[in-house]
Amino acid sequence: MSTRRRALFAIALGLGLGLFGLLAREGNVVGLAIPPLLFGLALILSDAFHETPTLRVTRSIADPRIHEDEETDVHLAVANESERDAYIILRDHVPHGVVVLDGDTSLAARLAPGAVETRTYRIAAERGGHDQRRLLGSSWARWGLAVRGLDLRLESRLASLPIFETLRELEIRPRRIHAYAGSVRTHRSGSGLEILGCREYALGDDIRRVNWRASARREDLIVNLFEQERMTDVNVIVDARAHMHLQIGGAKTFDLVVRAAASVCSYFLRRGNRVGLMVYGDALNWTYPAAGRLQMERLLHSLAVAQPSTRVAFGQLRQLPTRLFATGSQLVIFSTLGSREDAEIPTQLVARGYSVLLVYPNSSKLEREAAYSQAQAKLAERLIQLEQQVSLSHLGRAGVQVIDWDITEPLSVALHHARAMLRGGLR
Amino acid sequence: MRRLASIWYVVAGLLLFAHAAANEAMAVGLLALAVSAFAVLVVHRSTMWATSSLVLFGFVCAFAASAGESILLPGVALVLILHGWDMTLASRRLIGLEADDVRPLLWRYGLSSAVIAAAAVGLLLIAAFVRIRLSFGVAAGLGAGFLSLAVLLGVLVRPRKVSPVLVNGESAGTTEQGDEPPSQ
Repeated sequence: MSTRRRALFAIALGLGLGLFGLLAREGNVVGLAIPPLLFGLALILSDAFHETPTLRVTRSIADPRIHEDEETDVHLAVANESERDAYIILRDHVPHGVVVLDGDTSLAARLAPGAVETRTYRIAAERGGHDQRRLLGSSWARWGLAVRGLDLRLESRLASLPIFETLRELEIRPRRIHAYAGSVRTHRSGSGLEILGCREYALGDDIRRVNWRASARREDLIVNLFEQERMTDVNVIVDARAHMHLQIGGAKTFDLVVRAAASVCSYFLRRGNRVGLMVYGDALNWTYPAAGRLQMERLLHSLAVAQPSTRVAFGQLRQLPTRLFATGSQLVIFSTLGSREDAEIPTQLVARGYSVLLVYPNSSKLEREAAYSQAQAKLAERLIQLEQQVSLSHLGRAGVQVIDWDITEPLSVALHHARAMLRGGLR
Repeated sequence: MRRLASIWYVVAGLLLFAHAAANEAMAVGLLALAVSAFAVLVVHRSTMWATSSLVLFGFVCAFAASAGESILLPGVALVLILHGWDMTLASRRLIGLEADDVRPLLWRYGLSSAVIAAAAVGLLLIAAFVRIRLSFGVAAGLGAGFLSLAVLLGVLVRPRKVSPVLVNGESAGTTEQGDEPPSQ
């Protein structure tokens, strides 16, 4: 309640008592009107003579870009630029998702003219963009009971980016490549590092490419052929539909998927590819493919603000806007493919000429650890597993590269297993 | 500050009870004690509860004053209740702050509060000494006075411009009326 309201209320009480006394013809009750009226008058005078101080407020965040597991300091400085003492209380706004680990976010002080008061506190934040917009507080009258509320706009932004792991091996076979050198193997001979095969020497071949051992065996000049390595477009699609994700205890499967997507983006960008990102679930959150460190920042910021969505418009995966993806490019989809209609989408994408890598975030282990031990539940789990296996093997036969990722483990483990199984299968 | 406000409520209740008991109006005295206990229990919950307690106390003070000859004890009780109410509202701004930090503010506030209370008690003493007799002329004069006071305060308490506050070197403006404590 503001000072004026307090004053008005006290005066109303006084006038009420006075009028009641007059109506009841009770002199004592009329006399009782004196304290509230005097109190209200004092409040009004105090408020009238109370000047809001001129303050210079600065908030600076030591590192406005942190990762989920990092901390940063916030420095708040308030200087009194008026000619009188200022009696102030200020509380910094701590947004939802930000935790104060150490220090004080409030400041209560008497500031002499020109004096500066500072506060530093340490924060950690959940993944996302966190806006600190306000600084609330009050200015107290030097004499009297007046208090004036302060509501200062003071905007600063903290970006808490997802943490990601450094992947070492993730093989893709896109159908379309760029002319620039990169790291994607093309199955075509040219300049590269990996040996593709050998052939007989032809006029004009570089003498340094002669395979002398093979030439000695064949008694003819044989040259090595190297596999071209080129850059390509990789589009990472994160399924952010809320019904595709779980929260079990403190573990949110969506957060794990976001981290895995960040790992994949980082991997392909490190290897010189152009990487785009689509978060499918809310509005079309699309980051156009590009290469380089700046693109990594864009992708991380996009992933930082991604949240599961319940929008009906994106309830099915068939609304995926494939027009945004270059024909023949590599798609990396993070999805559990909730329905049978959804399960057909990767196959359709392959049929349209895209190379599809499906990362299937398998949460069955997490659910099992969290919930139950009943026989019926085990049977249900077994049935679900069988259905998943059938669905994934069907996708594999249709040309979709599938990685069944147990989300309780790092993505690199799943990639390692997938690679090992592929080698075992080839043997 | 909150504890002091509660103490004021309890003392006010006891004063009203003593006044009522002395004037053989036990019902009013017991009502005063009940309202006092109620106020102590609910007054720190919210502004609405604090203000409701004040209104209840206003009624009890009026009953107590009309039940007895002297205005002094109900008047002093009302002074305590008013300042207890104001302290309750002010204390909501101080939640979570270090005691050392708010001490300069509290000293000034307490001193101002004490001066206003002393002035009110002084006026009550005069009123108790004079003993207002309400003839028709006095009543009409007081009524006119109250009404003109209401009009005058309505003119005084009007919106006005607020001096700017600089944030990061630029004017960010300020609002002065949002008086509820910030929810952190």
